[in-house]
Amino acid sequence: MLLEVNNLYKKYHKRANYAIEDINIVGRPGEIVGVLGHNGAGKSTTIKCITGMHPYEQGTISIAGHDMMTDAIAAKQNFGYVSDEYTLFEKMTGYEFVNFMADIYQVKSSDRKARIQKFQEMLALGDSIYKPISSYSHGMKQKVSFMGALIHNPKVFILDEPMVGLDPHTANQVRRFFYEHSRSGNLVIFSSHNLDTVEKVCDRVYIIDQGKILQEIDMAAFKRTGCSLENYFLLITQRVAKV
Amino acid sequence: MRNFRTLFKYERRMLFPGSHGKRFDLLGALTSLIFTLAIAGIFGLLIYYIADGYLEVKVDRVLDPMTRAHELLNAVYTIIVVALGIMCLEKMRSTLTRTSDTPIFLRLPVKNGTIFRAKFTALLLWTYVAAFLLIIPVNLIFYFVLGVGGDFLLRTLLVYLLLPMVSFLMATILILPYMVIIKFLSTRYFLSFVALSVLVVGAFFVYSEILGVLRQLFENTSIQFLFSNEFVDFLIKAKLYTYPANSLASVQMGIDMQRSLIITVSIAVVALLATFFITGGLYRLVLYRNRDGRKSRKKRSFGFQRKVTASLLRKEFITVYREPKYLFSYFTIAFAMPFMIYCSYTLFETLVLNALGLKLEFALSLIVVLVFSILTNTFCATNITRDGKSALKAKSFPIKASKLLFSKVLFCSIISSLSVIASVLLLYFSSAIFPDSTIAIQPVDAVIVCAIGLVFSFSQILIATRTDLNCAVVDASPEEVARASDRTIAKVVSVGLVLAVVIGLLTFFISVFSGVNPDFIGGIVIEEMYAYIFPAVIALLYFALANVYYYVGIEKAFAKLTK
Repeated sequence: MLLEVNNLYKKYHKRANYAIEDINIVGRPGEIVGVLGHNGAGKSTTIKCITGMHPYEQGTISIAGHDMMTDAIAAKQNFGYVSDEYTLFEKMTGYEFVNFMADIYQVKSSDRKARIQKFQEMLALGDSIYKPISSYSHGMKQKVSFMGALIHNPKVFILDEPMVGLDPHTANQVRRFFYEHSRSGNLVIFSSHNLDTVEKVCDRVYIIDQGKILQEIDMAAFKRTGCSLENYFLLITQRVAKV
Repeated sequence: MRNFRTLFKYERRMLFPGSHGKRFDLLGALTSLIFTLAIAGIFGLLIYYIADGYLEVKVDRVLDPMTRAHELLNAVYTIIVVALGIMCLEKMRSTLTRTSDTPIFLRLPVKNGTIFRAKFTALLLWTYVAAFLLIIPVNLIFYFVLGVGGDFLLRTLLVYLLLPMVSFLMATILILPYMVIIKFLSTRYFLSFVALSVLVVGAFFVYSEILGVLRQLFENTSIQFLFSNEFVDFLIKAKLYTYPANSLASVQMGIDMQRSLIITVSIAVVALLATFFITGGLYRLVLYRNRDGRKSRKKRSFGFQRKVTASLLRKEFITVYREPKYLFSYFTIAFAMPFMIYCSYTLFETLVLNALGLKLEFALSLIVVLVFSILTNTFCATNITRDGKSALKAKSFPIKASKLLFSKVLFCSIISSLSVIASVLLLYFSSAIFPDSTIAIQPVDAVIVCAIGLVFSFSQILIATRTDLNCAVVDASPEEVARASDRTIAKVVSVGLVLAVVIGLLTFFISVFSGVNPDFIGGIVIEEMYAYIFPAVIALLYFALANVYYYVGIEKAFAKLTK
């Protein structure tokens, strides 16, 4: 198992209720897993807890066999993360940022050159990578975030709303990369409220609402039913809302 | 009209950011008030003494206070016009070229002209507020010194209305070349650093000259020493060329009133119209310009692997070096620190020598180095905050918090060490560098001052970084972030200043009393050595406490960083 989240609870400072409750997620090698939910459902909070950006009250998170509480450094070495906001060092150029990330993950010189060339072509970055990040457009920043997160070829690739701001061509390239990366024995897990993307690429989907997981869906079995993910998602989230 | 009012309110908020805070920051307000009053007090006192003294100057053996007042007012108004013009220039540039809200404005159903008029009106308001703070106190001082009637105060109102227009015109003439220079410097970081350093050293030189005048004033108890024949001749001649400040001075003094008033009102009207149309044209250009004009940096081949700490250090350097705001508040101040220390030392040396007849090189150099190192290390109180949301992203890095934060402490320590060492070297070699310098610090004293200065600086950096970590606000509005930073800076500076003053005064008193016969001080024997031992022990204790404060619970504190 590359990712195991068990009974995760998180409460924000000075809030009475839990932001997420009893979250259980598993991710196996070779899978693409989606975390689907409305705005404010708890997707980003879950992802931020998994990546160590938010402390949590209860539960365990294990990445590639390393516990996030007791063995955080080894766990973090095994994932790459693209956040929903641009958390880039804006005064660096794209190329400086990617090299910085490679240094942080201690990527060998021989490996980083090949990977950078591959991503530069895949994401059509061109010479813009030599400009300061502060001058980048929304999509460009997202592309550089991708490169920074993938430079160490992580076993687990975690993304929060990854398709926002990408042009159709790049979005398609990213989807292809998801397949490629997962089929090499890695795990891709991302949060989204874009039902179309989730339906197209995911092997398994967790539907999350009001901080709780409502359903785990095996997409291969789901597709055989002929039902649309959109209808199903609306149906179960509305049912919860009514209750 | 409603659109204009809404936009004007927004622009006013941008130009007066402190006036719309949700929570009143008492500590911040008090600090600003004390600082402003201290500066205003020094300048007010200086202007008062100068005005009072200059009115008694006789030219060709004739005492003519009104003519002297006119000459002096002309000089003061020239300075105000230029100073206000420079302030206006920067406000004009930032208001017209602010890109954060341009995309929002462009899609609003509002005419560009309305947006510009709101900006222009807010700028005008800002100029008049700044002018009020400069003109009214100066004129009140002249009113009291001259002892004239109430019509002087009425004419002050006229000058207050007209003078800002001249500064406005000056800013309008300079705005285009200024914008070209700023754009040119925006990607040339080293040039920016040199330019800012020259400006800071220059500003401090002017400031120290003013303090020097005050020092001489205390020594001589009369300011007549300032008014040499050359100085008086200069002021008289300047009056002939400094248009329109001389007309404004004439209006204020009621000399040749009709002609002066026609000239100044005409200039003001032309200034207002010219500014409105030129800046309006400029704004339209700015509104639709291509924003992605950044130059690519030199391409380098990928593949050079650095150690994690080296890479983190490099990141810190880039973040500071490429942001003009940080470049100024850290590198430039650290670079200018030796010069500031030298100027302050010479000033205090004379004061102490005059008051006590003693040359206390060690105590003086120590107190000056400690106080200025606090000023330089103030920047470290934003070590976490200045990363913004990226500080949160760093939590996902496979690095221990202590290692991540150590790079910040190390970076600040390198800069601070260079600054402290350069300052002590300048003091030590000053007699060789400056022929008229009287500083003669012993080599042992210089080494001890340097060591204590370094230990004190490192402690300040540790305390500043940990305090910022404990109360960092990284994911909030710029106003909230700024308020949180101000609070952290105030705390760190207060602790440092108290300790620097304690160490400095203790060393000072030990140095003074070590030469005194024990019979005169109750039989207490004060060895000269104590002047070294006490500050060194306090500095080391402070360093030990700073380490405990910094390291205890650092991992947990970093894990808690969420907003």
